[in-house]
Parts: sequence; C-alpha cells; structure tokens
Amino acid sequence: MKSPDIFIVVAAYNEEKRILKAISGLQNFGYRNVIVVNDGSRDRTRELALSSGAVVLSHPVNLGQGAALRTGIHYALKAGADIIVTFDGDGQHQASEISRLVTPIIDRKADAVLGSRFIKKGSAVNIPSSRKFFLKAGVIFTRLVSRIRVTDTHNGFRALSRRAASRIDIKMNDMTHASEILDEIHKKKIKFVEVPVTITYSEESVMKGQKTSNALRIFAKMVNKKIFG
Amino acid sequence: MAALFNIVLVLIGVFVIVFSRLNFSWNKLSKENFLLFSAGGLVMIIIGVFPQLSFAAASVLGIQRGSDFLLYFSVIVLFYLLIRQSVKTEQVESKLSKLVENLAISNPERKKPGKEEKSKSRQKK
Ligand SMILES: Nc1nc2c(ncn2[C@@H]2O[C@H](COP(=O)(O)OP(=O)(O)O)[C@@H](O)[C@H]2O)c(=O)[nH]1
Ligand SMILES: [Mg+2]
Repeated sequence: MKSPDIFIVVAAYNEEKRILKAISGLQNFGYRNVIVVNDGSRDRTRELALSSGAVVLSHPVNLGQGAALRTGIHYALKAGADIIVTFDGDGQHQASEISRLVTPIIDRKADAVLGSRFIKKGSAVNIPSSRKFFLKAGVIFTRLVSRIRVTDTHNGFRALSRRAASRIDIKMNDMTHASEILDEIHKKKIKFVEVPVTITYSEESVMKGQKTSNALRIFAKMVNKKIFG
Repeated sequence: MAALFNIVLVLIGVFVIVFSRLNFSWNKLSKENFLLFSAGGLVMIIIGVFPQLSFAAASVLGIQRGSDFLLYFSVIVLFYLLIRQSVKTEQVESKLSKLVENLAISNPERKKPGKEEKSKSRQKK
C-alpha cells in the first residue's frame, strides 16, 4: 500500500519569530506538505513561511485560529490529503511526535487522534501553574458539557483522517473551535484516541499565547452554544 | 414635571426620526431600520403629546403608572433590537469568513526552492 499523504496545517498569527523553526522542524522529519494559514498577520509571517517552502494561504484579515484551521483543512482535503495534522506555529509542538499521532489512523484504529499532555507519558514542559489549573478545569468542563472523556482539551495538536476531517464542521472562528472539535467528535461518533505529547512552554509562548482569562470567555461561549444551539 | 418629561419625549422622538432619516439618505441605514426607528420616534411623539395614552395602556396591562409602562415597553423593544442586531452581526461574520476562506484557498502561494518570485502553482493530486 502506498504511504498516506500527510498534510500539516499550521495556523499562524504574527509568528515571525517562531514560524521558521516550526516549519524546519516539520521538514526535518520529512513532512513536505506543510500548509501555513497566515491569518492576517501584520508582521513578516507570510514572507518567512514562503521562504521556507511551505504552501501559504493568506487571510486578508484576522479571523482567529478556528477559521484558519478550517481554511487549511479544506485546502488539504482538496489537495488530496489522507491525514491532516494540526500543528502550532509557535514551536510548542514537537514534529518528532507526529508519527505517534498518525499511527492509529494508519493502523485504522481511529479517525481522530488527540494529543494530550496530561495523559501518562505526556508532558507539559515549564507550564505555569495557573495555566495548568485552568486547563484542568477546562477538561472537567468539557467532560460535563461535551460528554467526551478526554484528559486534555486545548493543546491544538491532533491528527484527523480524511474522513474525520470532512465530517468535522468547525464553525467557531476563534479559540472556541478546540471545544467544538471535541463536541463534533462526540456527536458524530468519530472514533478517537488520545496519545501523549509534549507541549513546551517558553516565556515567549506564554506571553504571546492565550491569556488565561480567555478561558472564561471560551467557557461562556460553549455554554451559550449548548443552550442556543 | 410631567410637562417637561413630555416635551423631552417629543424632542427625542423628533431627533430619532431626523437622525435616522439623515442616515437613511446617506445610505448608512437600511430602509427597514429607518422605518423601524421612525416608528419608535413616532410612538415617542404621540405619547409625549397624548400622555393619557400611556396611562390607558398601563391600566389595560395592569401596570400602575404610565411611565412604568413606557419603561417596560422600551426595555422590551431594545432587547428585541439587540437580539436582531446580534443575529445580523453573526450572519455577516459567517459570510465574511466564507469569503476570506475562498479567497485564501484560491490563492495558494508557494515559492519554488531557489527561485525568488512566488509561483501560484499549488500542490496537486
Ligand atoms: N490563524 C490564527 N492563528 C492563531 C491566532 N491566534 C493564535 N494562533 C496560532 O495558534 C497557535 C496557538 O496559539 P497560541 O496563542 O500560542 O495558543 P496557546 O498555545 O494555547 O497559548 C499558534 O500557532 C498561533 O500562531 C489567530 O488569531 N489566527
Ligand atoms: Mg502557543
């Protein structure tokens, strides 16, 4: 059997300082279909991503990570991807761990593989304790609301089979999409597994990354979505 | 006091109508919203001129005072407008998202290694 076409979708917003390293990491591990969705960045993210040889899709205005992933996933599906991996452009994910994410799909054991830093053997390097607290709270919340049993919800590192990617409907433009994807997996009974991944926290990634207070907003939006559809 | 309140109500009503009429002619307001706001302004003027009307409406609904009736009425109207506005905003947002996505997908960029200019060719399968 021919090896599957793996597409890596990288949503990037103002990542000029980190994007090159993230892409070259991917290339070092032999991933040639790297799709960077440059989401209205005001810095040189687009130019740098282009110089690295990645395919760059540009949103003229910033819509958010959910919208960027939707664009990237739709493009990858059109380009014939068999497996789509979502990967952060800020260096928090390890390209070396992608093989671990795609294996269950190749072995036909699952259609969605979710990275988890809190499962056994997973890790969150240098994670600030307040961040950890909110992430754990998010996990409990997700179990209650989406009724899906996962150990981690918002790290952004996941692999989807072509089938799963075509079935999952991302409507939320912003960070809420992470909860939405879990919702979809549960609702559409997509077979999933969690595998351990390493998420590294550098001072920079914490500074630039999501504010802890955002967790509350996401919480409110998910409740709203649950109530009003 | 009541007289002053009535005058203010009439003035605000006139202002609302003039304001929405101007914005309508500047194409900043849809005809539908113009009519809606004007109707609101008209109600204000009518009640300002004939305050007994709001007393009557209040007593029909079992509310003690005419001014209370006005207050309840405006809260309900505002709430309705707010919901309508958010629905509209959401629709616009989802249209914008679709547009942006289509734009991005139809213009993939990739630099050929070694070449300087960007090529519009995409990966194919
Ligand atoms: N396309 C897009 N990507 C974003 C946006 N905000 C963040 N990202 C990307 O999503 C990834 C994770 O974002 P980050 O803010 O670091 O979230 P965190 O790691 O959960 O704190 C990074 O690759 C960011 O570049 C956005 O508005 N649009
Ligand atoms: Mg990050």
